Amino acid sequence: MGITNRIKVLSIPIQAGLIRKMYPDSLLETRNGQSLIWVHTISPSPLGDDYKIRLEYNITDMPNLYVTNPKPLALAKNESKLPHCYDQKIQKLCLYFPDGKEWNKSMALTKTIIPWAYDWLYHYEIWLGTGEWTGGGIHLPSKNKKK
Amino acid sequence: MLTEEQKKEFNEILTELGSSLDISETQFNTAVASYNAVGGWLTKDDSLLKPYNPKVLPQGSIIIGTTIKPINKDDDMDLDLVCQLSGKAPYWTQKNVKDIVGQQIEKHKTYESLMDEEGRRCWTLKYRTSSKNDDKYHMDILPAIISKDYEIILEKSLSSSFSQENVDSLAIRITDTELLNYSWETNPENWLKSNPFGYAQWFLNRAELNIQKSILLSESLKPVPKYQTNKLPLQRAVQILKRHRDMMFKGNKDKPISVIITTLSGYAYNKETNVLDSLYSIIESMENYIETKYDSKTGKYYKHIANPVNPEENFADKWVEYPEKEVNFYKWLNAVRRDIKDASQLKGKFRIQESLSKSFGDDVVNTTFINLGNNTRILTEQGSNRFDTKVGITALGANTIKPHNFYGNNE
Repeated sequence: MGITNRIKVLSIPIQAGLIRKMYPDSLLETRNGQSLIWVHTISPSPLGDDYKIRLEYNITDMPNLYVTNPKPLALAKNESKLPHCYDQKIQKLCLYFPDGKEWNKSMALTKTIIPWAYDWLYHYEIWLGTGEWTGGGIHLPSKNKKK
Repeated sequence: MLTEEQKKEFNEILTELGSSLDISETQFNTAVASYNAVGGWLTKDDSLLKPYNPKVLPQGSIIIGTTIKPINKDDDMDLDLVCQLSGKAPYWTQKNVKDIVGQQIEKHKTYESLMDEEGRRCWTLKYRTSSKNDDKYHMDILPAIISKDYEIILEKSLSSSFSQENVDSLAIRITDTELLNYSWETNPENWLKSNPFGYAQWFLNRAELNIQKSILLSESLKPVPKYQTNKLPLQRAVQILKRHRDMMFKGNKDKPISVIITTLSGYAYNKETNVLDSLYSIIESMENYIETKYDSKTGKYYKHIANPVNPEENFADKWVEYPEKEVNFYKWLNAVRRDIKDASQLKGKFRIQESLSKSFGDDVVNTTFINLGNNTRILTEQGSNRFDTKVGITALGANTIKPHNFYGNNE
């Protein structure tokens, strides 16, 4: 009954086609039908700032989403790092819980990773102003807690 | 110029700011309990006032839903009460009425210790640490004389729609130490008129929308009124304007007074159905409701802000003697126009937050943005949050955001 066995993988050309349809004027590259790179500038809300994001997806791997500008992203007062971020330096965002249910290869990037990037940036702006992460989510406890 | 989506988001911010300015339910209930306690003392069976059927009712911002939190937790909150006597001994002057109410208050040891210097029209209790929850207020108690059948008139007026005639019948007579006839005039017809409930009826009528009914004055005047969270755009706009005033003038005695801000807002409001449009329309045109009149006695022009339920009464009557008050009003109006405009022209919500914090205070603005963030998270959790590829998260967006959990270690 494993879910993973039953999913129908969306191919790179299909994923790329969906992105192109939703963002006709954006930069999209595919390689050998195996991977795609999408670069675009988005705003998390009508009064939000602009952020350049980069989505990399190799069919053999998980999709990765980076904020490439501004870099570094400003931090909230008294904070030393970004919330829900796999890598502070390259600003790789943690957008979903990797249990294979929230995201898997049968799902369109345009309905998952991309909208979640808006959501991350939305709560990032609130966090930057208030110091409070209002986006919810799951945080693994770190090995050695430093304050 | 803001786009439709930007206006919508800015309106959400201002609406949330308005509700962050509300006093808490606990503060509200404490205030109600305090005025009921004072009311109970003034109206109890062995009260000096008992023969005159005393009744104590709240008035002012608390009954029209425009009360706001003080800037600092330690600052006083204002609570205005009317102590109505239906009738009096025929020989009583204004002074006798004022004094007997004062005497009854002072018979209570605690109240005696809270009693402030005598005011022109009111007795003031200054609640300090003695009150529950460390709330501090100024409780102003306004002694007044009402007609014998006032209760019936009030009841009738509360259940019928707003009309000038109705409102006129709600006038009460009050005392004023600065009037020459204070210590000899026994006929209340020649005392100062006031109309707190007529004014409240006027304001709530101005605030009311077809799509959203106003809180009923009859609800606010109940012994235990309900705490209101769902306010109308005019009420929110007034709260926001009053807080801007508080931030700009702090304790300055010559700041624009609340009744002027509230009244001009009521006049200028055009039944806009959201806070942003209401605020724009109010700050744009509120000064048009300040009339310039000629005083034939002094040969000078002066400003007149008419009490809507008693047009002869000028809420700006002090501006002649204290010109600083007039200057400050216009300074404030210009500042509030500039601050709202500046905040609306920024890109990046954290920049808007920073800008609003300067005008409205760090604490409430911080709470406002946290609430906005939480509301958005709840929408996403419910699967009902939407976004537009060009403008981002907006209720007008074509696409929904699938529920998800941000993840990550703390490294």
